Amino acid sequence: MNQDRELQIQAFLDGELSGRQARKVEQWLAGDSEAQALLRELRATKSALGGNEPQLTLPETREFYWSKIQRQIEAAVPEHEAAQASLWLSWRRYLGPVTAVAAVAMLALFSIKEMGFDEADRHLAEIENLSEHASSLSFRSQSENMFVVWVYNKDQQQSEEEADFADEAVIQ
Amino acid sequence: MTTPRSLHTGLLRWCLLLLFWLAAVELRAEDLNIEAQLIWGTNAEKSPDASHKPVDKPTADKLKNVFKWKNYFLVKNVNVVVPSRSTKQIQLSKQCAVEITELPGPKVEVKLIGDHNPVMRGVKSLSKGESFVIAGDDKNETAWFVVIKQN
Repeated sequence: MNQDRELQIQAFLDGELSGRQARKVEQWLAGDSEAQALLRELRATKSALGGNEPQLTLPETREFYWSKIQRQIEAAVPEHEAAQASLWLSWRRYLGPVTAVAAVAMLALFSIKEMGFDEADRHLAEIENLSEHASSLSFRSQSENMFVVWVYNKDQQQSEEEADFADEAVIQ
Repeated sequence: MTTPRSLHTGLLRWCLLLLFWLAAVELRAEDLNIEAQLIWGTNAEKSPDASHKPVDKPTADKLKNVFKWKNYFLVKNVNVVVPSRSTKQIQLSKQCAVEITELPGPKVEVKLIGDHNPVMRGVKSLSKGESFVIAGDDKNETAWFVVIKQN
């Protein structure tokens, strides 16, 4: 006999089957001696347990009995632990959203950096002349993806300008 | 059974792990593979120095599109690896050297040194395919170019 049939016999004995199912079980029980034996055994066990189960009666109502147990449990938990737990519970409500927002913000920043959205920042350059005789000008060629610093001699530039000015003065 | 305290510790541990991971990704530093070229630009068809060879066509085309000179000759080409957050000096000629530093950002600092004296410094991010060119006039209407690229 398989387990399903055993369970059906148990359910039949406990009155858990519908009328139709119960009739069906009765039909195959009539032709199955093994099933009948199991039903007898289960019935005997049920009556033995039912007849000998101690019946305890409480001196107070069920609600009052359980509320006493609850009070005892609450009294056993130290107060500071209870306070800590309630503080944690109040914070826990915000921890999830705050963590999610922080993670999304960091991922967004990371993506912006990786995907080159800070394009303008990439093109910024800091140029410093370290010699008093040299100066420089810088520009960027977008089409050639080239950043150029043109270094020139300040003294030479000045003397050329003076020469140009002198030439112009002579012409005038 | 999961108590609030163990739940708290577990969540905190995961949050810290996530933050450390993101910080590590953000702050990751890489070595720079730098190519530095000293190039001489002229309108003459040939360089007076036989050891100078014309630069490769893509570089020459780039320079021609930006500068006025017709021909560009390679004086020296150096490939170096600049370790993260450190500096490498590249000697390009007797008078000319560049000092390259890898900086956070990631950015590079390029310092031009002429005759053992610092001339200028520039700091900028250098993406792959981008050229950082430091240039200046030379004798007889010619010019020199220091082209720095990241490989």
